[in-house]
Amino acid sequence: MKRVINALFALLFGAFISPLVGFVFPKGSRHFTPLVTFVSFAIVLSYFNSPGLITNVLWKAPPIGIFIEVDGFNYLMLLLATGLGFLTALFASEYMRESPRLTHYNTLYLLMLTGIVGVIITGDLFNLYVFFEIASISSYALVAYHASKGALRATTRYLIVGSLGTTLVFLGIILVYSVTGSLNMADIAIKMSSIDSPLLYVALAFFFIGFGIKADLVPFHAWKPGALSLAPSPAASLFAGGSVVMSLYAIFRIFFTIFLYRPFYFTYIFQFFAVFTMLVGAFLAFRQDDMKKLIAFSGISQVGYVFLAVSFSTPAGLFAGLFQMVNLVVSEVLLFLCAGLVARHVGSKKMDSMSGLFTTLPLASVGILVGAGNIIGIPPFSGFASKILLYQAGFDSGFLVVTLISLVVSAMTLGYFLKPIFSLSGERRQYEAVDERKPQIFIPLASLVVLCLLLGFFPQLIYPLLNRASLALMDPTAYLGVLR
Amino acid sequence: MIEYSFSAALMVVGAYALLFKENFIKKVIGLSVMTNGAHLLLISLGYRGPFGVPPVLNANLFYNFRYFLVNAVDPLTQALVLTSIVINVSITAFALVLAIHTYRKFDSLDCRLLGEESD
Repeated sequence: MKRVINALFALLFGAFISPLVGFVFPKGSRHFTPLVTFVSFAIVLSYFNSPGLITNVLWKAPPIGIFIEVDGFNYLMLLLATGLGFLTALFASEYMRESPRLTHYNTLYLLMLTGIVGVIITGDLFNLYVFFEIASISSYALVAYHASKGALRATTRYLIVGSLGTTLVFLGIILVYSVTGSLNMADIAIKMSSIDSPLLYVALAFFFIGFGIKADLVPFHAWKPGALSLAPSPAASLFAGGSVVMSLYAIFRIFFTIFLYRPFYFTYIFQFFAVFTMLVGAFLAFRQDDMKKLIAFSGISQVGYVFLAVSFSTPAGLFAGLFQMVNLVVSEVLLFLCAGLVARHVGSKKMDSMSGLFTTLPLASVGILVGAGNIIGIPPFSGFASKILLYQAGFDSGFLVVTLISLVVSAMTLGYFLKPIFSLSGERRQYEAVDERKPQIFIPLASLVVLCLLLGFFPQLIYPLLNRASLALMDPTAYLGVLR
Repeated sequence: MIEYSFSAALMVVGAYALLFKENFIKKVIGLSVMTNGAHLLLISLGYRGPFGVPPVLNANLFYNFRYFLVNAVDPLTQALVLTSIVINVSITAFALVLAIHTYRKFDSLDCRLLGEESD
């Protein structure tokens, strides 16, 4: 039976039997995670040519039962989350090979990806909370994986902020349920058109803060750089890729589909947070010496761009925002994977101790160069196309000041990325050898680099997907139509 | 109204303890208090006045079906609270494990030590 929810079941089932596989086949168990994530990715990919709504009913008909609903917007997110999840798992199968608790890592990784995919495909608000918690709890454990002093410190901070956020999401869901008496997202959206209650605005604020913590919007970002710097490198990639995709999905779905009938407040709220996120992320990135922290701050700054583009609330703005999001997660994942290799090669994450990496670690250096170029938005990379679309959408919809601020932040991005780029050149030093030619390491890095370049030269390749996604976000009639 | 203010007070006290207490265990207690406040709020939404009946259909209520429909307590909120309790137990368990590891590494449960970035 062909159902899109099998992508979720594969991951969940994989997570549960992963300890067993690790126990029975201690040698071969490292190939298990890439296999499971690939199955999940292939299931998602098999729907590539079926536009429109994909629905699965698990139990009973929509307003009551457990319900899966994937439209063009979810589909783009689902493709990103599972695809990047697969590449990261492939990388980890070689990178984490010597790790003493590989089975623990694999189980947590699969559980976190289960949570992310679950949040993206579900059509039910409470299921969204449950999957959000699954992703959160396994991500706390992934940050604490090395159990060093720094990791415990970062996990404590993340746990406090993260559990506060999930409780706020839970409260928001309670408030929505108390007002509308329903938990199905399409049903709530339809009922909201006839209800106006101040509680809904409180719920909206709770959702924004709760998911904003995971999407590292600026007042709530403090946990992120430390956690990403100290988590194992492939896990940090999942944070920067899947976790950001998940929380951006949740915020946009809730704001655009569920609260469809109150659109005009969003612009200013989103812009306020977007400008702060861009500026603060860029300013803090300047004073980092730790390469992974710098990459994390650049990711924070780029999330601001996504919010800025979406806040224009024109079709062009949404299109640019989603394109920007694709570039952001692809290049962040690439940068974290490369930074992990570099840190292992050099034996330190400090950029002062890196030099001459182009000769000793060519592929990872190219990866850092391409990822950085993509985030800065310089011509041969796809970041250029999305930034141009963003500025155009901003000027067309008349938000001159914020668009100019985003231009300035782009220049700052170039400034702070000079430090890691310079650390690639220079005099060659003696470092620990890392073999980049293993297929598990070569394939993820090479395919991400090729993706960045391909979308840079031919951005129209991804336009159909983005068009579907931004149309679905602009006009949720199809999403709500399942109940009519 | 009293149940709303009561659960709001619990949540505020819990959030205060979670954010501002210095002892790790007190933070975990604050987390539990906060989430239980949210659970009480959700449970109180299912309350159907002093004539509420359990949402179980027996022979007696079957003949008063309309009465049952109006006065049966909302079973959904109870199911949701049950799910949420399970989730929060696992968060609390994880937080306590983290506290054990923190104590082993730092010889203290004082979270002010955790705030410093040196090393």
